[in-house]
Amino acid sequence: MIVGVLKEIKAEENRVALSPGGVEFMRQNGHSVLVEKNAGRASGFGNAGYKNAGAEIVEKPVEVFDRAEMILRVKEPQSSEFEFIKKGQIYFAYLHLAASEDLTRAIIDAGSINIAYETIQKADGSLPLLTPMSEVAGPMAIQEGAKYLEMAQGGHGVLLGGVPGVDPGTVMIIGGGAVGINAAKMACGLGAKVYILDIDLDRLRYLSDVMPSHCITLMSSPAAIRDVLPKADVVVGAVLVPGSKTPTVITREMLKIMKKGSVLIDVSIDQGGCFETAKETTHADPIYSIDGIVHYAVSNMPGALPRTSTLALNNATLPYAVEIANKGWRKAMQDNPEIKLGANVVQGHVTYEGVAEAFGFKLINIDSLL
Amino acid sequence: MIVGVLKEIKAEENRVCMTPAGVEVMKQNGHAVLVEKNAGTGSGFNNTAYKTAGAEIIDTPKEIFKRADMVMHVKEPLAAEYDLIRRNQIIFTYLHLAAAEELTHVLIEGGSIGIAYETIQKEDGSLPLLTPMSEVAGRMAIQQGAKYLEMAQGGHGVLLGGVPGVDPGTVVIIGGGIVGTNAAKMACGLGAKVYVLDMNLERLRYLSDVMPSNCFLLMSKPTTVRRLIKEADVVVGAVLIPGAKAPRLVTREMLKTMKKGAVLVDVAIDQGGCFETSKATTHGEPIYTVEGVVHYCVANMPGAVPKTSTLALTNATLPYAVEIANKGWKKAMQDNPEIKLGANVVRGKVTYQGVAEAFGLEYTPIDKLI
Repeated sequence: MIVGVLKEIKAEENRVALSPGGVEFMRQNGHSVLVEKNAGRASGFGNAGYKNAGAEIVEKPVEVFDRAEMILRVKEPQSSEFEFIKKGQIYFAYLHLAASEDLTRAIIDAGSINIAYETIQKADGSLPLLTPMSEVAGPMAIQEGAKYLEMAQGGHGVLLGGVPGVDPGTVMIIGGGAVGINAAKMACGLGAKVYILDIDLDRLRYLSDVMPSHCITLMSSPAAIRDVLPKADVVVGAVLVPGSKTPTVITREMLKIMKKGSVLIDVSIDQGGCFETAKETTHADPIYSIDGIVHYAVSNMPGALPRTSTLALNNATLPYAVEIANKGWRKAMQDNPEIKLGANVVQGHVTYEGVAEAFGFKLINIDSLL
Repeated sequence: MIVGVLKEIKAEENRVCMTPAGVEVMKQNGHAVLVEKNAGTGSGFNNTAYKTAGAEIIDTPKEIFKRADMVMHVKEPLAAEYDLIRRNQIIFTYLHLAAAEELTHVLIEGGSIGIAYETIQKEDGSLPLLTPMSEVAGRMAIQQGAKYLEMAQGGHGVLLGGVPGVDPGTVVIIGGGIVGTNAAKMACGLGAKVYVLDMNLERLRYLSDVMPSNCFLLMSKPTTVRRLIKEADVVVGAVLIPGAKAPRLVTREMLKTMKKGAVLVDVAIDQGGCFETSKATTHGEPIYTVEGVVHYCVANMPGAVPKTSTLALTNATLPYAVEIANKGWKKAMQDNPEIKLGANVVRGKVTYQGVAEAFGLEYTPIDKLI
């Protein structure tokens, strides 16, 4: 199969969908790989690295669309690219279709095979192509919290780890999933007092087993949140309800019981945010203050760390991409139910329930197309 | 004794030299404490808290200089205060006289007793009133490195801790003293690969005993520095030679061998910096780039986290301040050689050799005056 790797064109997106290591692996499996010029540069991979791995460097994205049977991308197609998508072409990327009706209509009309990273799901319910980005965003949340606690940044001037003889800061992490546990590891590593809240008692038991003893696990409830909030220097919102909008766990009213100059980090902002006062920001302009509380609500946090994020994402996507390339999309979906759950829009039909519901399209069972 | 606590007026200085808890201890020891209005605001202590602890709140610095037997500050007196200093008044603060000729002359002519935090020294050679700030700066250095590795900040986009399946970042810390050890603790806690370089084998042995296994201890040699900075994502300059200018360990030429987008954090900037390309920056504008390498060279790093820094500093200064207040400066210096070493300018005489040498002034051993 001819596999095409496009350069990302969305703002602040510096990752790339396939590393030279991935190209080599594709080649070993008998595929040819087209890589758009400079696609990997921001992630630290020059064109020469791709060429050495066996890729052909292609000048224009339109040529990649023209020739490739499968397009690999980090982000969804942008409107300037809709006309290039070919019938029967596989597009494998984060799609987030439920958030974009235009895009959904464009790929229905194109008749392409759209497999979304974010809906590929294992039998245990986990989302293997979201996990690596949560692993990046979680630790980042603590670095951001530490930085924005500085007084020149609007914070109230507390060092998270404290020093001998002085109280460390207190970090409250709401949500004990992949984001929350990785944030907690970093906060504990810095020596902060850490509270991690979750509504799943089994998860809390697991966290209690694996985390150091200065990580306190709490059953989450509005009362528990109100109880910890006045002590917190940094609050990390790490709540994800798969496929639906994030619930609001901290209301505007609750900001009043917080310390002035404490910092809220909303890692759930991509799903609408879990703080009432959170509104999306960018890496260029990451923070704002409401009621004296610093808010950090950058969507696509991992985009700021493309070297780490690209490798983390590639490690997770490559086995799926290779399976699809080796078998073709139909056989890959027949054999691997995880890939089948990635099918969002296939040959003009909406095959993912959340997308069909969002825009009132007819839902077609993917099995009828395999 | 009447003890006066002044508000800091230097830019970006939000610390305060005595907390309400310190006021309480002073009161218990029978002293009266005057606190300038809003002196503690930046550190989270309001006037009411000082009043409750037994202090008298004073509107102007002028009145404090007029009434207090001992005036305390964090930073040296600034020009606006020169005229206010009285004969025989004890000034207990960071003075850094060797860098301030005008202030030295003011203190000589004023006939006051200038005791400097930074030259108080224990028998083992340690500097107990610099240690707490080194602890803060060392821990902060790693959060700066982590933050400025973000691509939007000029870094090359690496997460220091890595994620499962992806290499963590490499942190090279030059100098294994207080700054270096505290930086290493934080970097290790984040999960980075950490190298600490020092020239003292005993110190390296001690660090090897106490640090986690992701901390590698190396004898500092130019070849070692040259080799490691090529791999480094963050380099922390943590070299201090007491009383002398910091040595230049990384030259401009060596920057060319580093990764583009790596970050240098120069904690030695207050002593002139240990990278050739370092120049002092502020918390308002902390970074600049040379040869593609991000430089963070904020002088007075602990000023950004005043709540932690104030507590850390006052934990260390208070016992000395109480001893001076209880016994008077003369008896305190007779009894406590650590305080005696703090004497810089006493009754018109320069009593600290480094200061006398710096400006060609006559040196008078303090023993002649007590």
